[in-house]
Amino acid sequence: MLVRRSFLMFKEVFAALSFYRLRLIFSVLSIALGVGAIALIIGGIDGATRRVNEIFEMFGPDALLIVPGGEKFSIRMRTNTLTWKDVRDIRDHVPGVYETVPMHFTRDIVRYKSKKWQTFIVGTTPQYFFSWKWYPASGIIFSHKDVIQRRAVCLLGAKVKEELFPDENPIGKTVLVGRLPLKVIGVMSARGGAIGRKHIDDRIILPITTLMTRILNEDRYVAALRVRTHADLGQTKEDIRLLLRHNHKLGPLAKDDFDMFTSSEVRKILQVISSSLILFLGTAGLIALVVGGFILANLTYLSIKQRKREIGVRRAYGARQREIALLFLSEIILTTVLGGIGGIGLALIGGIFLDKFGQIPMIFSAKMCFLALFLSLSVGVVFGLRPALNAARIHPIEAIK
Amino acid sequence: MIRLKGIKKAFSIGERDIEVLKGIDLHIEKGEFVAIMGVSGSGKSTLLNIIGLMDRPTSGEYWLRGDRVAHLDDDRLSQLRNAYIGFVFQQFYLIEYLNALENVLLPLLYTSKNIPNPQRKALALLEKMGLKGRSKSRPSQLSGGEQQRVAIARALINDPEVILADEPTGQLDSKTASEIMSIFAQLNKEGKTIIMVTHDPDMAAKAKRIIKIKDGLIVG
Repeated sequence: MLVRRSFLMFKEVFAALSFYRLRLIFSVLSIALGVGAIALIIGGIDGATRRVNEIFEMFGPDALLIVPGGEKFSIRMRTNTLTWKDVRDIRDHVPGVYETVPMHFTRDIVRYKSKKWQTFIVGTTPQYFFSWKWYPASGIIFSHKDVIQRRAVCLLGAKVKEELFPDENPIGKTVLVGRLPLKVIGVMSARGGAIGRKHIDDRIILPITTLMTRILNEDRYVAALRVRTHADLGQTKEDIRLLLRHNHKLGPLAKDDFDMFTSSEVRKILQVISSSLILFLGTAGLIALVVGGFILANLTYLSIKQRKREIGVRRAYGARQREIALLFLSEIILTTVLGGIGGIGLALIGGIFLDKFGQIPMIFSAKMCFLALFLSLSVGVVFGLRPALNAARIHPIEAIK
Repeated sequence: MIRLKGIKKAFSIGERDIEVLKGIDLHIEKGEFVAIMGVSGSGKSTLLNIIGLMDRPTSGEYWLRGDRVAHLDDDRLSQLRNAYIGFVFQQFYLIEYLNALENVLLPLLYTSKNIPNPQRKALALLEKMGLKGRSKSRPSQLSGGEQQRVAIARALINDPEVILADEPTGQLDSKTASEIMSIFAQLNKEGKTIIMVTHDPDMAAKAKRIIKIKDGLIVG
């Protein structure tokens, strides 16, 4: 009996929703936009957190990055202060340091036959590969001898390989950077993702000496130094600071002319970036959801006004107040659940864009879907309960007039 | 079956109280076919609403099947309406998004009676009303006469004892109106109590008993 009655009721609810489908579409869309934005944020937060942790892992908990310039310099205006002597002194004299990876960078165009590709060019030592645990997918890395002899060899990032050698094996081929021909000896494994706006796989890697003396005209300063230590990270940081201040002949009042980052600082920076994104999307999502709720409430009021006779007929045939409320509430909740499902769909689409342009991967989880449905259900109850109760309270005589 | 004693009904419009019913005494037996007649504003519709438990009197007593019902709460009145009364309205009031069959089944959504095989019963009622094959039609696809037949089938699905009809032929041409009246006559013959409000003497003439109402009082 109860089963049959529920079945009848659901049939009626579906019939009503499909009959007033324009209203349904508007309600579903407005809820879907709000829920979608929020689902996108939840997935985005998970994705960003994972990305931050990956970078943290990659950077290494015992690692330190030293760059020239100090607090007073913006990133773009960094001067050259870090010398080869600094690199050697840190390697040889700071207790605990077991790995130093000097690096130099530039942006330039790489050519192969008629193809050109602007990319990030990294000059470094073989330590680079071991330190980041990042190895070629094919070919080999360059050696210390290559660094000392300034050989014109390079490894391509997966992205560069894709652009210049889409269906060709690049190993053994020669690419051109500036006027320098470089022999390709390896292709790096694809790592995916990015730090900031730079795609990790969009780079070529070559001996630091080759880059500094044969492409740039630089024989004294390096652009960055990665250091790993067995000792306490804070202690090593302090030791390096004293050494560099001594080498750079800085007086007691002078500020540091270099900066040092550890993994926890890197994490902090990334978190600031992603939390501002979350704040923006979160606010937008909440506003959209509330607006969606008001649209829903108004459309429900309109619907009740238009369906007053129906309320009267149902009351005449024995519907109690709670059954009228239930009828409208079921319609509203079904609408909002559809909105929730639509929102998850929108978040899926939004996630593709977020991944593509924001470099934040979306993580779709049961938690996200559950929360999206819960939110839409809450909107239904919060904004639908009052109109539904109002409908129930209309006096049968008033309704039938 | 239905007994009213000293029924009064007042509405307040702004500051003023308007007494629409001024003391109605009425007795209707099971199986009667009654027409309540009167001009508009005479109080006949208000009386029908009170008999139909859609509205409560301001004062007076009402016995339905021997039970006092004038001051029951809303839920209880709803149950009694569902169990004992079938309504037929002047403008049919079918639900526009449901087809004929679904409209007929509507009262069963709120019933506590056990009606076996409701689908078959609804189809049989539609057939009896001469609407065989129209069960899937929406109200907008039916003529006025057909809609009123669906509405009568709806009034009958839950086996009520009383049919209350408020100007059931008011929206219909005279030929269709007399067809609807023959349906009521037939239902009365089968034992249903029928109470109908009308201002049309031709229609009232089809009833077995005519109650005239004027200015809130029964005048004959």
